Amino acid sequence: MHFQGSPNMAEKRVKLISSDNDEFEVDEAVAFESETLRNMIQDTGTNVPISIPNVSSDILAKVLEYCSYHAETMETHDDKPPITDAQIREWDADFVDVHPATLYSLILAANYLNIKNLLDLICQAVANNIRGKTAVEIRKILHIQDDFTYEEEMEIRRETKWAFD
Amino acid sequence: MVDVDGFVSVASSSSMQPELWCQLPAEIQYQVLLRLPVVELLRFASVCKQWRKWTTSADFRRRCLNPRAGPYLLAIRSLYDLRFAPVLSSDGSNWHGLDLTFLYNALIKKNCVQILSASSDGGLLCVGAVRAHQDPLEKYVILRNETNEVVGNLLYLSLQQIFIRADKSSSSYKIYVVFNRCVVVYNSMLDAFQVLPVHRHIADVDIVWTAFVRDTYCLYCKSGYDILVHICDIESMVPKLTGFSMDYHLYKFLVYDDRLFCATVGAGDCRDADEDQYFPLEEWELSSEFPIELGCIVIYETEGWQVFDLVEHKGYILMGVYTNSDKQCRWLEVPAGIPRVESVGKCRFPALPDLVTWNATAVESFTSWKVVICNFHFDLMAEVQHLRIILTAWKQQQHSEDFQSLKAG
Repeated sequence: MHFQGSPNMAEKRVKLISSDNDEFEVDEAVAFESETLRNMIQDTGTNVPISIPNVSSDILAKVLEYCSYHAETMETHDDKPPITDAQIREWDADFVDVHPATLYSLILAANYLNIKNLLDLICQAVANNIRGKTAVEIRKILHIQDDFTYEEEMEIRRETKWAFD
Repeated sequence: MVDVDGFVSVASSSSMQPELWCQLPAEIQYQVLLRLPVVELLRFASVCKQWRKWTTSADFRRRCLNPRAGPYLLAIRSLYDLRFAPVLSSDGSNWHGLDLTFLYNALIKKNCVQILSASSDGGLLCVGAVRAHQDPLEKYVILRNETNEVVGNLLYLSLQQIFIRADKSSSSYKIYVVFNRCVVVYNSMLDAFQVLPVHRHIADVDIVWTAFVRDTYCLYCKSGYDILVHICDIESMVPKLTGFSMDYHLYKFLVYDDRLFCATVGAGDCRDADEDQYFPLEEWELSSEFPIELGCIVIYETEGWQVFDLVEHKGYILMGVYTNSDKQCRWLEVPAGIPRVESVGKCRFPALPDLVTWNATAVESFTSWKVVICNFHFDLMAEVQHLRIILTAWKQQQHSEDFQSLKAG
C-alpha cells in the first residue's frame, strides 16, 4: 500500500516457520508482500522467527516463491532491463498452473497471509476453471447440493432466460 | 525445502477436486464469483440458494465493478485533514492514514474552504467543495484519483451532494450533482451535462438528500415545512414512492441490500426502552412497480450520542456516532434486520485513529455536512478522459433553455 512504504530495509532478513516446523529465511521486502507478516514484523521486529501455524512447507515455499518474484519486480537495477508487465503476467500464469489441490491450499494461505495480488490471481484462476459450465456441471464439479425446488429453478430460468440460450 | 515441482507435473487445468470448494471460506467463494462474467453469473444463480443470494445482492453488483479493490471506507472531515484522511482497510481491522495531498493542493489552489460531498466508484474519487465566501457563488470541484482536476462553476445554485457511478462495461461514468432544486448529470460517454427534468409534483420543494436505489432509481428527500421523501425514476424524475418523515431533521439516507435506511435525529430519547425509536416506512405510498423493499428509519438522538453518518462497508451498515461523554466519534455496526438500540451498542470496527483530531468540542461540527464518508476503491491507476472539457460543456449548458427556466423557477 502506498501509504505504508518502508524504504531501504532490503538488508533485513525474516525467519518464518511453517506448520510442519521447517524454517524459511527471506528478505523483509519479500515478507512485506504479505500484509499479515508486515503487521507482525512491525509489531515484533525481525529478531523473532514468525510461526505460520496453518501453512505447510510446500505451500509456504510456493507463496514465498511468488512473493520473491513480485518483490523483485518492484526493484530497479541499472544493469538489467525492468521486468515488463507481459513477463509478469506470463510468470503468474505459469505459477497458477498447478494441481487444484495446491491451488486451493494457496488460496487459504494467501487469504491468511493477506497477499492481495496472489489472492486475486488465484481467485481469477479458479473462476476461469468454472467459466462456460452450466449450473448442473458446476454442481457436479464443485459438489454443491441443489437446494432449489423444481418450481424455484424454473422461475430462475424464466428470469434469466437469455443467459441460458 | 519441499520440491514443489511434483505438484506442477500432475497439474490439471480443467477438473476440480470436488470436496475442496466447499472447504473454502464463504468470503473466498464470493471473491471467485466476483471474477466471472455477468452472463455466467446469471446462469450460476441457479446453482444453489447461496449463489443466488450472492449474485443478486446489491453489494455483489457494486463489487463486480472492481472486485479486487474491495470497499475501503474513506472519511474526510475537513479540507485541512486531507493529508491524513483515515481509510478503513478492506478487512476492517485498521485505520490507515491516506495521503490525499494532491486533493488538498488542488482544492486550495481553487480557493476552496469546505468539502461538502464525496463519492467513489470504479476507482474514481469525486469531491464537491465550496469556495471561500468572497462571493455568494458556490462552486464545485471534481477530481479523479490522481492529480488531474476539473472545475465547473454552477452559478446561483447550491450544491448539496455529488455521486459518481461507474459503468465498467462501457468504461464510462456519470456524475450526479444534486442541488437544492435540480439534479445535473454529467455523462462521460456523451461528455456533456444534462439538467434532469423535474416532475411537477416535486417541483416546489427543496432537495435535501439523495441516494441511489439499485441502478436506475434515485431517492429524493425534500423539505418544505414537512419533511417529504420521494423516490423517483432517475431519468424521468417521476416519483415512485412518497412518504412523510414527521418533523424530524433528516440526516442521512442509505440504501443497503435494496432496503432503505435513514438515520435522523429528532425528539425522543433512546434510553427510554418503552419508546418506539423506529419509524416504519410501511405507511408510505408505494408504487407496485418500484423494486425496493422497505427497510426502516432509524431515529437516533440521545443525550449520549448523535448520528453523523450512515454508510455501507463490507456488507455491514455502519453508523458514525458522536458520543458526548468522551467527545469522540466512533463507528457502530447496525445489525441485519430491524435494528434495535440495545443491539447497536457494540463496536465492530476500531476507533478512529489519532491521525487527525477527531474529538470535538461541539456536536455541531459532526453533522453529516461536515464529515464526508464514502466507500473508496483504492485504485490510483483509474483513468478518466476528457476531464478538461467539463468546464466548457457546462458553460454551454448555462445558455440552454433548461437552465434558464430552472433559474427562473
